[in-house]
Amino acid sequence: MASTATVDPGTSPVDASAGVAPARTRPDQIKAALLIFVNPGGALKGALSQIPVQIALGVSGVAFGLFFLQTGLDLARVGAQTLPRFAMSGNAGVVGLCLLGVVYGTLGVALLGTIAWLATRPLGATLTLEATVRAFALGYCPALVYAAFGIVMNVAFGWNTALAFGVTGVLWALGPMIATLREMLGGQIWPSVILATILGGLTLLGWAYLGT
Amino acid sequence: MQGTPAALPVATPLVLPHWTAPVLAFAAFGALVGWRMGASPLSSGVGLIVGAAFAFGATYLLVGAITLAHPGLGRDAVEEAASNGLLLILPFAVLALVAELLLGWNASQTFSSAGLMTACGAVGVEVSRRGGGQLRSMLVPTAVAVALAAAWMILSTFAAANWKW
Repeated sequence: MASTATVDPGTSPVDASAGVAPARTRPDQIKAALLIFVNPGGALKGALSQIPVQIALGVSGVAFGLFFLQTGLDLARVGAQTLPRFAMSGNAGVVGLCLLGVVYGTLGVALLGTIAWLATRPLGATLTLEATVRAFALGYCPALVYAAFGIVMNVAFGWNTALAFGVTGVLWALGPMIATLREMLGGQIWPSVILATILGGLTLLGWAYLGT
Repeated sequence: MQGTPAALPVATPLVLPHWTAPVLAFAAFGALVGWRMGASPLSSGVGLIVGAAFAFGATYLLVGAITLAHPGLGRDAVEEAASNGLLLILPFAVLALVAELLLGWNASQTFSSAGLMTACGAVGVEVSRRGGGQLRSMLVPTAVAVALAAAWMILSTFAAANWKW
């Protein structure tokens, strides 16, 4: 079930009326990455749709790497084991947790996108697997912004930021996730909301299992 | 064409009043805050009622602000946009319950703030799809969301500091 193509708030009116794929410059893509905060559907369908999936997974990988790094720093600050799943402490645990976050943000997010792609097939979705994974990965652009701010606050001021900045950033990814799912499901809101709840829950539970 | 409603057909087989999702969500957030304060069904119940009432008023504030900013749209169109967009707060309420009850986190503020911002942003997108100006559609709901998130934070912090069970 394909969505009807009309003007989208996230694309240039001139490009849309020309009926050809718009050429996207780096400034367009950076602007779209920030636009994802307020219009995730438009941003993901516009400039960000040109980004290679490997780069997209790099975005989510770095976002989760910084998120898990903040978790490790917070745990080290209070004297707890920094990588309890592997019984590691101290700096080695912090580094290990950061690397685990990068793996979680790349392979984990790719898996999440694949699960979403498989779950929406029976409901009539026609988006390709690559486009789905790209959209899911780029949905973590806000998480990357929050994680970057959080790591600065954590290191410069000694704040515990994993919850305030890290989890907040991951929660912001729910908006783009729902927008992607709606796009895949022809505008249906309820299946999108239910699926996003399940996938968001898996993301948070995964972090809780691995990182705390 | 500026202001033309965008692509997606809005298919909602279950049409609820626009305040339903936020009231349910903030009932959950309020119950969690109440539980943190008093660890009793009474404190949770009071928190639930306060949260639901807060959300009910907040929804009408949001719809009123957007209607004022878009006089050509009409209240019905704004309420329909709000009815779709505010559904996005429900995942945050469910995840907040999971985080507090299953994982033991004290994070309902984080979830309520992020949920408000995301849901109000979605309302803005729905308004722009129905012919609202792009910039106003984004700015007005975002500004209202920031104010509501701050108000909820102040309310729950004040209650936690001053209300003894």
